[in-house]
Amino acid sequence: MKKEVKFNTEYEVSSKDILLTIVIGNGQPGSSRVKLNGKLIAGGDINGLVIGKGNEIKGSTLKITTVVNDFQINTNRTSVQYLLSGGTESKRYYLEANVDIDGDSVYYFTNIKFI
Amino acid sequence: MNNKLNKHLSKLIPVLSFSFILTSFAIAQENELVIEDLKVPVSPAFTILGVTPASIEKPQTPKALGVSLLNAFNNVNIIPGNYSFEAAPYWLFDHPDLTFKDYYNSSPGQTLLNNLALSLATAPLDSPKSGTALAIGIRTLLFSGKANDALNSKLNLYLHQVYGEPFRVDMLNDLSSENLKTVTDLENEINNSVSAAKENPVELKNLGNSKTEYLTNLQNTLEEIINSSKFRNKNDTLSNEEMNELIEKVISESDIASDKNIKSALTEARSEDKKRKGFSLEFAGALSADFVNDSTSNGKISGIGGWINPLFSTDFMDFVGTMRFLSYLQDGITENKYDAGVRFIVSTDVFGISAEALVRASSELTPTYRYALNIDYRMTKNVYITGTFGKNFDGSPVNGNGDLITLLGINFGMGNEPVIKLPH
Repeated sequence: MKKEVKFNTEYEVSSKDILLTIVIGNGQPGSSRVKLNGKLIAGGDINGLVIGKGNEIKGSTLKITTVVNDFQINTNRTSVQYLLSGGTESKRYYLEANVDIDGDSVYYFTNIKFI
Repeated sequence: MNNKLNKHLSKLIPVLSFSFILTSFAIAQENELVIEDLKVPVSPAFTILGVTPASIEKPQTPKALGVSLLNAFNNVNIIPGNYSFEAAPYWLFDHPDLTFKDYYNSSPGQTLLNNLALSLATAPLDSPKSGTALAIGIRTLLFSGKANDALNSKLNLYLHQVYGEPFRVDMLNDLSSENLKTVTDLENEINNSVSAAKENPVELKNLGNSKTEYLTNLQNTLEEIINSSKFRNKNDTLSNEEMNELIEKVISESDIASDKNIKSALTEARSEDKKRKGFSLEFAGALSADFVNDSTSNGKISGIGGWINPLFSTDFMDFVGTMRFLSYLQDGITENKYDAGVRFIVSTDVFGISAEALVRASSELTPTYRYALNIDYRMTKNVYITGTFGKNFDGSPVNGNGDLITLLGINFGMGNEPVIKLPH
């Protein structure tokens, strides 16, 4: 059974570059796909990705799909941190979900609107 | 092939007969200490108590652990008679910053934490005593060896399946928002998305050279799902309900196929992960106490155990070391048992040789040794000639009072596993 986590939020930009880092935790493997206004801008491991200047991307929506698979035998926990910086303040969005069956995947769908 | 086998067999009938004569010797050996007996037990608490619990609680969160313990020890004066649990303390807690890469390249300290396992068991005391015995055990790895080529290959296959998922789910979810009217529209949409992904260097870049293969396989799977649908031969425009039904079928069946692929690759990667090369070191300890009349004031230590297994492995050679210490304290009498063993194995596709030595001692017995040399030769895929020579423990006579070990026979792929490295 596919488990989905959906998360929508807003992030207040400044004039600086907006940076995104995604940390998939609990020793589980996973991958992400990042789209800005429907256009793919990055995939795979996301570490310090420059989304764009705050004043240029204001009003845009960042859509992130992250899939995490349960590799660990000793835990069914999966987690993802979305770290945004460069805006009026740095933000950490933390999502987690347990798989029901060993080896299942969790699908994280996140939308971040830049305001 | 059959002629070749028959030729081998006809030559070996005398040897085969000899091996049957020695069957009684092999049976006699079954009850003796072998190096596998000294390996670090999975649940040392169960081992020191000598119990095999029918059900074992395996809590995965601190809350679940607390509930399990509270339910078991629901009365402070009563120790549960038959309770057992295993837990991996490190994994009871959240580790948001532990990435898969960090996990896979762990320092010895992190490896120790990752593999730390606790076990706890209780059992009724042996008659005529009344009360409960309780044991706690701990087991972990300090070094876990390193990945070999086969593991890296299996791991990559698994990771590529996982890494492809964001593209697959996004593409399928986007189908619902497209204005698709016919089956051909749906096929074209999928084909266009796959083609665009192949051309876009940002897409699926963590799949490396496997990207095209992954996308082609995905495209073929989706095509098969569409071909199996009842709308396959409908050339007319589909109603919205029909198109939604078709898209839902594509998504759900693709999810099932993908889940199956990931789990299959995961199983193979985990299996290969157990055959790491290089140096690994595993150890365990356990402590047991008897509570006569289930009273904590009567609690006395009844047993202490320790195990340690160093292992060094390469593609053609394995060195295995085992050490075990057990101390039992009953009615004021202490009995200590010490066992240690080493095994050295060199193997190729057709020939294998292993040498092993075991020593055992106790507080009452002087040390006694067992050493043996084993040679295997593979004749055909499943037929081996095997020979064992050496000396058994003192006081372990095979025939009469002798302690000589000699065994020669044919193994038809049943019974003990040969030393020879089997080709995959």
